[in-house]
Parts: sequence; structure tokens; C-alpha cells
Amino acid sequence: MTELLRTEHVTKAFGGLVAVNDVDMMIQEGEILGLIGPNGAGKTTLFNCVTGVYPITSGEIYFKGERITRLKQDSIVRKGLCRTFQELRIFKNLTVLQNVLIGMHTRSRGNVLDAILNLPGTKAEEKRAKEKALHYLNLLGMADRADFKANSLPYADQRRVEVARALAAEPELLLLDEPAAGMNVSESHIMTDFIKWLNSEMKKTILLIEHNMRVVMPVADRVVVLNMGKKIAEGTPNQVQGSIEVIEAYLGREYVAQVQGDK
Amino acid sequence: MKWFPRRVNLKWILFFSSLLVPLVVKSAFVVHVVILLGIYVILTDALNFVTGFAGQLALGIAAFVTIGGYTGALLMLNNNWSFWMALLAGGVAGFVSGLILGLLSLRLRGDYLGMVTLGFSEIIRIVAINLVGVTRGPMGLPGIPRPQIFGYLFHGDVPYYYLLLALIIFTHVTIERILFSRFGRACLAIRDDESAAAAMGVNAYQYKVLAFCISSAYAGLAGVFYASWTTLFSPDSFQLVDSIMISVMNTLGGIGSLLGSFPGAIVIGSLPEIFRPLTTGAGIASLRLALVGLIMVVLLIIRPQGMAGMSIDPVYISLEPIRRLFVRDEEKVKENKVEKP
Repeated sequence: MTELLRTEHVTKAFGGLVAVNDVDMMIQEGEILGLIGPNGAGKTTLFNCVTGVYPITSGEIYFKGERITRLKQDSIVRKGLCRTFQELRIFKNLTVLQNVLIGMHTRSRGNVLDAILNLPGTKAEEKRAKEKALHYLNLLGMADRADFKANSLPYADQRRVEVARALAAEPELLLLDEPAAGMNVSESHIMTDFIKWLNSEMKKTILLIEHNMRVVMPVADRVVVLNMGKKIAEGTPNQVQGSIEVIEAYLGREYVAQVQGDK
Repeated sequence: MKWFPRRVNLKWILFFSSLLVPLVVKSAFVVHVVILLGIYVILTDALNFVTGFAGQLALGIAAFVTIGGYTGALLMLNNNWSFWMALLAGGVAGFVSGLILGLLSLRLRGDYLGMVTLGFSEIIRIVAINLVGVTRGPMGLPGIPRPQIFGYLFHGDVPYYYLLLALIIFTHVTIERILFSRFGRACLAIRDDESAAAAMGVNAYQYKVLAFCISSAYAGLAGVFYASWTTLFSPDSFQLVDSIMISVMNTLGGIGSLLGSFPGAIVIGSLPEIFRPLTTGAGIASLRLALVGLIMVVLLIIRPQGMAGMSIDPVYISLEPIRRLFVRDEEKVKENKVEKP
């Protein structure tokens, strides 16, 4: 297994608030890494640092051995790293198909002049992009709703559109920020199965932020736990569940003794 | 009657009916007003490209009309350029000035961008007034030549009307093509959610600047047309008030719609002319504009999303009623039989 993403001493401070503090993290090709932690632990901030939304205060980020620390968001997407958002951020006024086509932005060609001239080459490129977008929608069982306005869909379907859109960018590393947030139990089961399927069949490496332990524990190969911006534990789901620091971060100090007593 | 279409795209109706306007309308005054409305249609489309499609609040479109108009007029007067070359140059001038302002200001968002574009518009007007050596200042540039094509010299409003129609068609065809391309989709994505668009690999800044340039290029073209049509271009030809009126036309027509520029520009542009006879007496001249304002308020209450909403889908008009008139009874029976199972 080769290393896909590595963060070295990544720190992000907003003024006096250190949201991410000296985090070292590594993702191997082909694994599902769960990133968990209580509210405000800095999980999403770390995502934003890796994807180039925020310039980091110090530290380095490497993707496939290449330094991507100061790159802009669009160059990072081009390198093969794409994300979804915790709060829904689909393009509401566009159709489902258009949403996915925007995901393909870095994987297709065409500028203003091409559009105005509309030569056969441009038309063929557009047709190819549409077929591919439909293919991704099909993977999520959404192909029949391709021409619907995105905001007319039920919530779970909107989340699926977001995942399809990220997949369309053909990333090697897919960063999912709470993909099952707001879903009911059966919907989140489908999402869990889908994440496993993406990993095993589509060969995507996945970094998964998740609040819901029922979602993250069965799918993750390894788990990294953040608390107050710091990495407090790392290991297999079982190892992490037994860690005293993790129990303290999630439940509070008084529960540590209780849990240890139970054992 | 199989050849008879069941529905027709609204743009064809608009196209054919606009071809007939000068044949039906005999009043020179009305044709003159219609040409003015046509210029407003182009400018509303141009503004809509940047506000409605790329989602950036730009308010100073008059600046680019002025830049285009002066560029075209000066090239025709001083360098004896033909109208057609000057028209192209006006578009290029609009594009380049849009590029300069866009590069400097499009890192700003929302109200701040609106303020910068508004300020730029005033700067251009003041430069045009004070650069007397080039622009003759407030006196303006008179005697701007008319277009000539295959030895035919344009005179009167009717040929200008058809020239303008060609410009409107050019604007609409290019905008529609851009909108349904990779570039247009990226603009729409920036409008809906800029950070999500950036996360999908859209270089938002670059696309916003380009959308702004394209919008300014259309404004520049319209400026050259206006200069040649009125044969006089001055700093007062297009000013702040016009920018605001065009924003109003865009809002009422439907920000982000493809055909909203027509109802927007026609309603708001023609209202002052319709009310003109009512208010010829001194003292109540401003009542005219107050009435326009009142209608704007009412329209915004009834239909806040604008007359055409935010639609970029083609609009079809059903021809079924007309079809029924022509279809003979036995054919009706046959058609029903075919349709029913």
C-alpha cells in the first residue's frame, strides 16, 4: 500500500483560536479513514485546510508525495482530491444533471469561444460529458431524476446529488463531510453500503468525517480522533473505542472511571 | 394537417413579429422609441449576463456603453474607420475595460462590488467631460458617420431598426450558447454557491472576470450603435440614471432569465413615453417618473421574481387552438382514434 495523503504538523489558527493544532495524519491508498471527534473538534477545518479553502498557518500537506500546501482549490481538485460539504451545498437552481456536470468541470474542456462557435468538436465533448454525468447519477440511482431542479428533490436525494457531483470530478481521494447527516436509519444504511461499494468496486480512497458512530465504525479501516484541534487517538475502530482519551473527550472525565470499572 | 406544429418556441414568434414592426408601424416617433427599447434590450441582456448568470452585483453598465461609444465614434471620425470595424472596436474596448475593472474589483462581493462599479461609471463620465482634447468635453462628438453596406448608406430609422435587430439576435444567440456550455454552467454554479463551485474546481475569480468582460463587450457594441444612430455622442448620452434604469429593467424582467430582457426593457422603457402626453404641462413633468416608479413598486409586489422569473428553459406557445380551426372534422376523428389507445 502506498501513501496517498499526508499532513505534517498542520496548524490553522483564526486569530487566537487554534482550530487545528499540529495534526499529523496519513491516508493509505485504498483505505477508508474515519475522522471523528466531538463538535468543534476541528474536523471540518482540517478538511478545509486539505482542500485549499483556508491557507494553513503552518505545516505541510502532501498528496501522492507532491506538496499541495499552497495550491488553490481548483488545482487541488485537478490533482484528484474532491469533497462534499457538511451542510448541503448543491446548486439549487440548476438541474440534477447540471449539478453533476459542474462536478466534471476539471475533467472536461471548452471555453467561451468554443461555446459561441459551437463547432462539432464542442458538441461531441458536451455529449460525452452528459453521458458520463448520467453514468454517475445512475450509480446513485438518480438517473431518472436528471432533469429535476435540484431543490425540488427530497433531502436524502439532494445529498446523493452532492456525492454524485463529487464523484464526477474523478477524485482518487474522496473527502466526505458527514454524508449521512440528517438521514434516517434506513437511508444512512444505504449510504454506508454505498461508501463501502465506492471503496471496494470503484477503488476510491475515502476520508470520512462522521458524527454517527453507527455509520463510521462499521466502514472505517482506521479512525483518527480529533479533540480541540488536536489528534488524540488513531487506530482501528476497536482500538479507538477503548481509548481513555476518546471516552473522556466524548463523555467527560467522570465517565472514564465508570467505563474502566465496567471492564 | 400533420405538418402543422403543435407548439412553437416563443423566440420564433418574437423574431417574425419583430421583422414586421417597421411595416406595420408608420409613426416615425414610435419607430424611434422602439429602437431605443431595442438598445435597452441589449443592455439588459448584457447586465443580466453578469448579475443574473454569474451572480455579481454590477451597477455601472453605462460606463462601458460610454467607452464603447467614444471608441467607435473617435475611430470613425478621426481615423475614417468604417462603421463595422468601429462596431467591433467598441466591443473590444468594452471587453478590455471590463477586464481592467474586473481584475481589480471582482475579489469584492455583493454591495462592495456594486459600489466600485457605480464609482467607475462616474469616473468615466467625468473623464469624458474633462478630456476636452479628445472628446470635446460636454459638447460631445457630432457628425458621427452612418453605416454603409455594399454602397447603401443608412438613413432614417428603418434600416437602423433592422441593424439593431441583427445585433439583438447576435446577443441572444451568443448568450444562449454560452449559457448552455461548460463556461455558462460554471457561471451559474458561482451564482448559486461560490464556495461549492470552487470546491468543484471552478476558478471562480477567473470566471467572474470573464463574465464581466463579456457583459461589457455587449455594452460597448450597443454604445457604437447608439453613437452612429444619433450621430452625436456626449458624456450625457449614457449616465448613472441609465445604469439604474437598466438594473430596474433587469429586475422586473427577471434576473437570471433568458428572455426577461424583452418584457423588462419594453415595459419600463416605454412607460415614460406612454405617460409623456399626460404630463406635458410644466410643473408636473416629474409626475411622469413618479408614475413609472409606482408601476415598478406594484410589479415588484405582484411578481418579485420578475416577469420571466428565473427561467432559462425555452418557452413554448401552444398552437393547439389555431390547429383546431384548420383540422377538418373527419381528421379530428382519425386523430382521436390514433391517440386514444
